[in-house]
Amino acid sequence: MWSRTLIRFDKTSAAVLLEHALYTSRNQYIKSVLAGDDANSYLAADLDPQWQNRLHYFEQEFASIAARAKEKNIRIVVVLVPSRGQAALVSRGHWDPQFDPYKLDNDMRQIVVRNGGIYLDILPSYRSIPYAENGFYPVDGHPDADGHSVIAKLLVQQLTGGAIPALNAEKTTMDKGN
Amino acid sequence: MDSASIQFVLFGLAIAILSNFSRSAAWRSAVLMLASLTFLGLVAVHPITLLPLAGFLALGYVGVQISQRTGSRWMAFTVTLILLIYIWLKRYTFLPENIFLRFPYLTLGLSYIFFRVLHLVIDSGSESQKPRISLFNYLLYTINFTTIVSGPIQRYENFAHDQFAEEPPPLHPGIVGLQFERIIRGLFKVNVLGMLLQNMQEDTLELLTQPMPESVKLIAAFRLILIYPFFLYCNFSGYIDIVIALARLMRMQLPENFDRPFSASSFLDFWNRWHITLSTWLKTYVYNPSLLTLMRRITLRAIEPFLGVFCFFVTFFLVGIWHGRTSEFAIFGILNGGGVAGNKLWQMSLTNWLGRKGYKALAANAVYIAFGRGLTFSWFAFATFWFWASWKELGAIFTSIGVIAWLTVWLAVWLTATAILAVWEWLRNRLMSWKSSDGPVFLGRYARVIYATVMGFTFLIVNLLLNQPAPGIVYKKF
Repeated sequence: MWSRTLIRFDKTSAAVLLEHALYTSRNQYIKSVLAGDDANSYLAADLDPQWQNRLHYFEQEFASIAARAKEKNIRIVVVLVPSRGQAALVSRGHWDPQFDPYKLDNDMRQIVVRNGGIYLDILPSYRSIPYAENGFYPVDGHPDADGHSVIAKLLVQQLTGGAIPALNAEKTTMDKGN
Repeated sequence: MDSASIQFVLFGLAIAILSNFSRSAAWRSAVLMLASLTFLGLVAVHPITLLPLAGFLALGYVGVQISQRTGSRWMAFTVTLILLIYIWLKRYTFLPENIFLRFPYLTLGLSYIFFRVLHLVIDSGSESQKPRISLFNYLLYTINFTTIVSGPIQRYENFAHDQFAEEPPPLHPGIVGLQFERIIRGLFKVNVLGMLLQNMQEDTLELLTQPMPESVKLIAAFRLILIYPFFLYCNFSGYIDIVIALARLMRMQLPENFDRPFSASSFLDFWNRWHITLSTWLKTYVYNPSLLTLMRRITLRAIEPFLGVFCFFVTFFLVGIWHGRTSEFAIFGILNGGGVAGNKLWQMSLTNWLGRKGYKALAANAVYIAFGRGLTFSWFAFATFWFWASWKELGAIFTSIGVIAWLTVWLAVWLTATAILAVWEWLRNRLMSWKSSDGPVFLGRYARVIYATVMGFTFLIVNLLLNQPAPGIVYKKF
C-alpha cells in the first residue's frame, strides 16, 4: 500500500514540479541517481546479472543482424546516447569507485566492434561540455532541443572524424572548399 | 542510524516508550544501557572495530578511579596519557603513519567520550567535587546513544541528576508535544534545509572552479561564503534538536548547544551561542585554569589584561584543532583563536579610548551591533573555509578569482550579512511582540502545530521523492 501511494504521488504534477526544482542542483541529481536503481545497474562499476543478461542478449541479436547486413555489404553503425545521469557524471568528472558511467559504453563498444560494427563513442566528449546534463529534461531524462543539438554535433564529429572513411573524405573536400 | 534519519528517530522513540514503562532509575538505566549498546552494535561493521573504543573507555575508567583515590597527585599524568591515546586513536596527521593501528576501527563519538572522560578525571581529582562512579554508571554516561555521535557535551552531575533521580523530570502531554515538534524541526533542518544548502554549496564550488566568466565567478564566490555557515547550523543544530527531544522523552534534560548564533554581535558572543557545550567545557577546563595560573605567576599590572587575551586565543585555537587531525584545522583554530583574541583586544582598546561608559554606549548602538553582527558572521564564514575544504580545494577556490575581486566579495558579504541579519532581527522582534495571554503568538501552541505540520509534510515529501539516505552529520566525524 505504501509503495502504491508513493507511485501515485510520484506521478502527480506537484511531485514532478518539485523533483524538477530539486534536480536543477547537479549534486542533488547525482546523489539521487546514485541512490536509486540506476546506481545498481548500468552506472555501477560492476554490472549486475540483469544488465549482464541484457548485454548478452544484445550481443546475440547484434551478431545476427550484423551477419545479415554483412551479406548485403552493409556495415552497422551504433551509438549509445547517454542518459542524464551518465552525462552529469561524465561532465562533472568524478565519482566514487563503485560507480563507472563509462562501463556500459565500454561494454557496448566491445560487443559492436567484436561483431564487425562501427561504434560511435560520443560519451567521452561530454567531459568537455560544462553542465552537460542541462541538455536533458531533469525528471523525464530525455534530451531536450539543446541536448539533441549536442548529440547531433557529436555524431557529425564522430562520423566525419574517421569512423566512416567516406564521410571523412567528404569532410576533407568540404574543408578544402572552404 | 548515526544520522538524523527516520530510522534513528524511530529507534529513539521506541527506546523512549520502553524507558517510560517504569520511572525507576534502575529500569531507565537498564533500557538506556541496552539502547546504547544496541546503537553501537548497529553502527559497527564488526565487533572487532569496537575494541579501540572499548580500550579508550577502559583507560578513562581507570583514570577516574586513580583520580578518586589519589586526588590531584596523578591527574596531570592521567590527563596527558588520555590525551595522547586520544590523539593516537584519532590518527592526527602530525604523528608518523606507522604507529597507528593497522585495522579499521570505529572512532564515532570518540571526541565526545574524550571530553566526558576528561571532565570526570579532573573533577574526580579535585578536592571539592568527587563524584563516585560505578563502572555501569560510567558507561551509561559515556556511551549514552543520544549524545555519543555529536554531543551535546553534558556534565556528569547533570546526567546523574536526571538519570538516577527517584523522581525523574516530568513528562506530560504538553512536554511530549513540544518534543515531537522539536524532532520534526530537527528532521526538517537536516534533511530539507541543510540538504538544499549543501547542494547549493557543492554546486557553487563546482561553478567557481570551472572555466566561467568573471561575473559568474564573483557571484559564485559570494554565494559560497554565505551558504556554508547556514548549512552547518541547520545540519548540526537540527541533529541536536532531535537528540535533545529524544532524551527529554526518556526523561533526561540535555544542555542546549545553540542560542541563535547568527544574532551574536561579536565573535566572543558568537562562541557563547554556537556549540555552547564545547566552548563551556573549554572555558571551564582550559581558559579558567590557564588564566588563573598565569595571573598567579605574572604579577605585572600592565600585562595582566593581555593574559586573558592570550588564554582566549589558546582556548579557541584548541576548539579549532579539536575539530580535525589535519593542518587545515590548525588554521581554523588560529582563525578562531585570533578572532576571539582580536575581539577582546578591540573591546579593551575601545574601552581605553572611549572610557567604560562611552564603550557601553557604543556597544548598545543599533548600527554598531548590526555591523558587528555582519562582521562576526563574515569572520566565521571565512574561518570555516579551513573547516570544510582541503588545501587542494582552498587553492582552487582562492585562485579562481583575483585578490581585489576576493576583497570586494568579502566586503559585499559583510555588508549583505549586516543588512540581512539586521532585517531578520527586526522582523523577529516584531513577530515576537505580537502577543496573546500565553506569550508570543508565534510560539503559541497553535502556531507550533501549524509550522510543525508544514515542516513535517515537507520533510516527508522531499524524503519520498529523493528516496536517498539522510545527509551525514558534519560533526559526527569529529
